Amino acid sequence: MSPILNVENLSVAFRGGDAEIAAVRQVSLEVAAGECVAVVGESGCGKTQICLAIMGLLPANARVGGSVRFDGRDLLAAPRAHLNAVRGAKLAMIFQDPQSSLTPHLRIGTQMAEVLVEHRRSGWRDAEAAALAMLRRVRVPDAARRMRQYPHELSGGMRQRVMIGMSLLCEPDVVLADEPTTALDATIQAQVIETLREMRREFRTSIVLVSHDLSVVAGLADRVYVMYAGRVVECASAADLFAHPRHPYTAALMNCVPRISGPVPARLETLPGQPPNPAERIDGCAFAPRCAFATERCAREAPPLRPLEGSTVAACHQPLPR
Amino acid sequence: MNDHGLQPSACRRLLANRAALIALATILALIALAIVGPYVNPNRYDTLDWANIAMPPGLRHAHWFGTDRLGRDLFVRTLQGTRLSLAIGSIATAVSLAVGIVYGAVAGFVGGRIDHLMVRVIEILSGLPLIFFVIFLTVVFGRNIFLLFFAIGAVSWLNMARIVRGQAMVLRGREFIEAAIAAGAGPARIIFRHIVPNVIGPVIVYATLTVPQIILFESFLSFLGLGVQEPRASLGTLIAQGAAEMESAPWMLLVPGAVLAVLLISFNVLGDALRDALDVKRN
Repeated sequence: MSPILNVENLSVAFRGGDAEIAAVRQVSLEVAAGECVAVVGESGCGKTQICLAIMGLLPANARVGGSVRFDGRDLLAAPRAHLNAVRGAKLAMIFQDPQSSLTPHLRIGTQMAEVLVEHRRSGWRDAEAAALAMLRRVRVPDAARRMRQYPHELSGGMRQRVMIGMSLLCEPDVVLADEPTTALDATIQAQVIETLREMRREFRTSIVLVSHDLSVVAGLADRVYVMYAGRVVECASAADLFAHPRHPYTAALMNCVPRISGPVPARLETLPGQPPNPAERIDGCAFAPRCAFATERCAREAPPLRPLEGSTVAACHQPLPR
Repeated sequence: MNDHGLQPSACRRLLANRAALIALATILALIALAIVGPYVNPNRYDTLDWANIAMPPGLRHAHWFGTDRLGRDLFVRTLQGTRLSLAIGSIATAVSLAVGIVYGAVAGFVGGRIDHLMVRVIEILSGLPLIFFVIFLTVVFGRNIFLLFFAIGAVSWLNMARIVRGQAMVLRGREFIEAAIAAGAGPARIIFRHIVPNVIGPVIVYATLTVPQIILFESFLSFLGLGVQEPRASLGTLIAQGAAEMESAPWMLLVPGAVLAVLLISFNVLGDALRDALDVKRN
């Protein structure tokens, strides 16, 4: 199946003073129709920048390279009119913080309906009816009353569900979800993930899930890209990745997740050291300074992404054994 | 679908402020008086009463606030002057709102080189000495009340544009604006639907403070003889005439002076109260 969203050799760099800060380095990823793809990595590894680059939301001082092909057209080269026609209609985004991503002075119903009025040229009455139906589908209780309320009158989980509903109004092909549960507390997180899962089943929408939370990813994703210092270091189906992490960084990430079952370790594992400074040039493997298995070759020569057993593709000179 | 405007809670806070209520009532009363006042008095602003020249105020005769050197009724002239001052104040404020909001929001949201250029224009215009500008206009085009509107309008939007631009720049970085862009809203929709309504708070406050500034400025121009011309009166011309008779007929200065002072104080009190009421952080 040909991918609906195909990101090739995407680089994002920012001019900051005299240094150039590379946030994303030569990242390629593809999303098939109906697929849920996760992008994981620690803070600052470039996950969010990929989303912003796809949506054309990067600030003016960003330099973007590569291509983002969506529906057969390169979004990076497309004029703004095309972007505005695509964004919100075929390609939607759910933001991290539902607190601040709803316009405060517009009622929930109004902001939702506006998306339809803008993209579908619907009348207000139809658009509001559709918004109400959508609120019910994303299980917002008492939807008719919520329609008339302002964002600050809703709880965080409710607002995120409104955001999810709003992103799905035009039945987009791809939804980018940038840390959709990070700003919510744990019980609400589970509900929101459940909503996302149901929505995916119901609308057959592709989801690009950006998260640092492996438990969120495990519950939702078909395929996972692991990023480190602006690069993809490993990509595999969720089953392969969680069963057999091949890149030492992936394995280290998983070790950092607290477990409920099994023997209780004396201390929760953490990953020593800091990610590299994005303003610096990296010659070898970016993870080498923190890697327990690094050799002299790792510091000198950057490992390319190469296919391993199963669905796994990893960038490592000595991948962990299966 | 018009749901912006004052939040109910802000309204409540404003109404709980007694000084603001008094100021609001005073302004409304002065507006009402300025509109209907001249009709409840038998005198007209330009009729000369040769029998009662420079008559002191008194309620038993026809001229409640007295008359001026030409025997014109001061009550009617003061109200007519108030009306003109208020009209100039509100029209110029409306112009400054319309131009300033659009200009500021566009500059702040678009940013970059366009913003740079737009800010330079504001700086050049505000660097212009206003008095020379008005004198220059009067010399070229003659004395004309519309010229006054134009001259005041041309400069009064500058600060409004600055305020709105600052707010728009802050808002541009906010997530809900990004979310709106991500939902496919074009620049015009972002500016008018998502940015402008969110700057309305500071804009209302500033507008309330602009009205008295403009009234004062018009009075100043009229005082210099550059503004409203005889036989019409504005508060400024009345004060100028009164100042000349200050020693022999103090009421000619005191009556319009008191009205101007009450009007300005009321607007300023109301503006301050609005600022407090709209300041969400205080609650």
